Amino acid sequence: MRTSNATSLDPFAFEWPPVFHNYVTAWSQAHFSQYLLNSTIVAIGTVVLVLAVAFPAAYALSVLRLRLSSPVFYTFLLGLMIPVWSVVIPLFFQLRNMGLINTRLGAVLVETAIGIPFAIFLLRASLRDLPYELVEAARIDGAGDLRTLWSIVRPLVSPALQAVVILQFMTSWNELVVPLFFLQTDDVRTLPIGLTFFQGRFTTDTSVLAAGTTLAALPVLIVYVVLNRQFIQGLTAGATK
Amino acid sequence: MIPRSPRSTFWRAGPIAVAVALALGAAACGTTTGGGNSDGSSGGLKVGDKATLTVVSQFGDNAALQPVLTKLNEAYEAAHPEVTVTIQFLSADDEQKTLPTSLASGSGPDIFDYDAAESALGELATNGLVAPLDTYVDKYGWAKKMEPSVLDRAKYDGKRYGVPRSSEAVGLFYNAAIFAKYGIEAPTTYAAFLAAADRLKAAGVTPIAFGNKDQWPSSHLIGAALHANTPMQTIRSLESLDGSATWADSGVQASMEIARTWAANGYLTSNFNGVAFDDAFKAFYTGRAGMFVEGTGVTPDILQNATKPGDFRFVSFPMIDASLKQQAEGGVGGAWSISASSKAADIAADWIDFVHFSDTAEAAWLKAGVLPTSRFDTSKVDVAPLLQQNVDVVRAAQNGGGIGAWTGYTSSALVTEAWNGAAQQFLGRSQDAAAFAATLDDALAQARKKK
Amino acid sequence: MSADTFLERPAAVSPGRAAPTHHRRRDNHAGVIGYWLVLPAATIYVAFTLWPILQTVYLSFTDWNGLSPAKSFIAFDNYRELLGDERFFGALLHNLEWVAGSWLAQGLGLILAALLSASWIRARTLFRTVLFVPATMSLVVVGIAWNQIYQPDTGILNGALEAAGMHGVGWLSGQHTAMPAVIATANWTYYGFAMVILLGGLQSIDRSLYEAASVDGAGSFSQFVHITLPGIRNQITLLVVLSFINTLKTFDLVYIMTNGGPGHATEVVAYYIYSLAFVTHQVGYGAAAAVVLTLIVLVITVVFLRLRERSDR
Repeated sequence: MRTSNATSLDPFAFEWPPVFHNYVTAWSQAHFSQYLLNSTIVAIGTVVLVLAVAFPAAYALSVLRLRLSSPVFYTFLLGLMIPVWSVVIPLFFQLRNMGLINTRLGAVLVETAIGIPFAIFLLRASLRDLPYELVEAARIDGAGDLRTLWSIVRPLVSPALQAVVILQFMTSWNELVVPLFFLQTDDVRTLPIGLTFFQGRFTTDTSVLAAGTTLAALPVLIVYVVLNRQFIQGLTAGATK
Repeated sequence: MIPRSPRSTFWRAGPIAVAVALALGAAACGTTTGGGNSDGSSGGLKVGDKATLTVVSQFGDNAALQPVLTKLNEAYEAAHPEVTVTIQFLSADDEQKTLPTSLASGSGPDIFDYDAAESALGELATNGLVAPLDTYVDKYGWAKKMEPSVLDRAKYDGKRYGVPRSSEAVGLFYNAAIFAKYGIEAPTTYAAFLAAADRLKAAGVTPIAFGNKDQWPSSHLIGAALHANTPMQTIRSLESLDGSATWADSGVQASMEIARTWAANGYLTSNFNGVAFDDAFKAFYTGRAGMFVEGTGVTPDILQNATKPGDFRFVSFPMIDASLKQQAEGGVGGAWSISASSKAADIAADWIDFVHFSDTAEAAWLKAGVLPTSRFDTSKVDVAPLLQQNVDVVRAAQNGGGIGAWTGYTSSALVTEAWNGAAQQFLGRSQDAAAFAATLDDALAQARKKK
Repeated sequence: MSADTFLERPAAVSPGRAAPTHHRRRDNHAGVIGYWLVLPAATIYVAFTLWPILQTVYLSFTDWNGLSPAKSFIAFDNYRELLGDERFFGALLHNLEWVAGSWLAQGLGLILAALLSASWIRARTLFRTVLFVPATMSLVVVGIAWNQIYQPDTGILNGALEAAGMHGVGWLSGQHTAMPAVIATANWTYYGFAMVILLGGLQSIDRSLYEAASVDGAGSFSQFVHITLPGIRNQITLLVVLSFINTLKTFDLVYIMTNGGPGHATEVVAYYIYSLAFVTHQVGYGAAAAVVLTLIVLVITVVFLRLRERSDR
């Protein structure tokens, strides 16, 4: 018989913070270091890829006055609106046909595709403020679009870019559905799924679960705290228009 | 109007065309059909050939059983150096979500351990995703090593599709220390059960630990009443898509009503629909409840987590209808099956035979708390008393009226879905037995029609 | 010519016929590289999102169960069935309740943002950081933690209520309390984001406007309505749109906390879709539900943005 979505994690019933040896158990017992490595690879890979493709795309759609920018933008936005469970099955078949099941590359590509719409949405709001004259001036000076993008535009929308980095990192790190289907073996599995293994079907080793959860949440928290200022700036700058 | 030069049109249209072509090309083979051959032939590698097999096990969240399987696998690999078997551990939940799609796409494992119910393995089988095992049953003599009725639990449309892995039965756990403290008689008859519940309630101890937030525990509670009060034939018919019994049958409804009276009399944990199974279970094995109506599957956790495991006893749930022989809700916990698109089915069957039927395996599983499905002589193995009581209950039912089914969780996923929410309302008394039965029958009718 | 100024940049050139040649030349030149810049994102997006979406639409016209290769084309049957599906509309209603609830979170965010933007606040950054933390947490962890808080016997919510002399309830087991309880948890994760966005907006309003208004004798309420609110219009629009899209898709908390129960009291559309595809193996029907949901989101979003833009004019 199945189940257990909930656990008997009772935050006030055991010693907090959990005793050190629980961290050690959490670390060694369930291949924690491997999961941590995988989560890191997938999260960083996704962030880099999202930035690399969404930034030029957002730039093209918001600064360069392309004729199709509105329909293209809405097409991207569509990706935000569909619940992931509806597309998982066709997506699974597709990745399988491409030989990408159970590969970190496959997971990165899928998470990137999921992350592109929001990244474009956020970057576009910042980019719309850029005066077109700036681009023109650069062009007159002989700079190609890519060069303009890197040297001139990038510093101006840096906060928004950082917001994308942090939000995408957070999303990828906490992602459940994609790893569930596309990263099933231990060598590629990520942390959130690994955590559910601590939840026994009938009971839970509470203290070890707490230690494991803390370890898993730590990287995101660290990233958030360290990059907090830029992140907030990026979000607010992105929303000022 | 200045005509656009052909060159600039190319530059504009180019990227769009390339994007679409690339993307569609990459996804071109992305059709939603399976890729394996499901013609049932065991063409492929033979025993002795070099091979790599993958196994999906549902022990992901069962830390006690993982090492057992891993060790047995190592033993098999040692005896067959040309074979490499990798085991993927998933939790039962995750497996239920991902395995059907994996199998349907042809990229699933060779061997998998799945719920043997008609609604689970049966559905995979009728959709051509599972390899029939009849040739192997004959080859390895599984029908002799196992009760035919048990083996037949994985029989769908006349073919056998799985080797049931563990026997499970729902019975009655009770805390002997609490009973002794209040001078309560052991609940070996229904009258004693009710008396115990009243005494515990009066003493301020939760009579029956029960947490139904996860929805499935209601299947064990109501099922216990059902199996204690309704003839096995009716139960089997009810839980089969080929049967004719319905939930509205008076005998069935009467049994469900009995479970409801337990709730009405305050015998169950208060606000049980908001209490998770884990928490109710914990309350029981930490001595805060007197009884627990559950299956043998929870025994390993009691043995491992209770501070005083020696306090606990397990007995058959007492029959309510005294004219019936001892029956028990339950079934088989899981079954080993082979994927229809596996290219190493022969080797897979050989692996299953070792990992399930060999003496080393049987002893290892029993010690870990898994009750055997075969005719294995359990007296050969030294086990904890509680575990022995588990075996006794299972054998008592098998020798009596039989082990029935997992109430509401056997015939079809549609019925299970209907059961989950409706049982919460039924036990919570916002819906009466007739309405509950009607909901279930709607789903059952739909499932039977689809077949 | 697009219709919503919120998402489109404001026209630098006045609409109409001014300098068409100049315009077109700019457009031509930009188009050269422009579309190529979109290409990588478009490729990945089309391959891994758009194409699966189109396949889902196709599946919605079949009776596929996700298991066997066989699927038959049944045209609009799924949609017809959906129209009469009480459970679907019940789920939709729950989503709408969720949306309404999220506005409370945004209200809270506004209040906090207003407080934090007051000039006399010290350690603003610290407060802002701490208050934002719930928004960074994985929903699994949030769900597990709040499950414990709502526990009827051992949870701290009931504990606090009992201590205050009131009676605790089964929050997640009550037909009428379960949905609000889950929504409250969701709001706990939403308010931080709203707060940050609105804070940025508030801080960018020109202070001198307030001073001028005070001089003119306008009270704080009037100042709020006529200066503050218009000043954060864009932020409010952003929040409304995003929260609408997200709450209509919401799934995780229901999955972790209640599984849609008790009964179907907390079932939301995304959960229903999941259960159709993965529990009862009705992939075709689930696809139809997904298409309908997406269309609803799309239509309302577009309508809202156009209305907004019209009121801008």
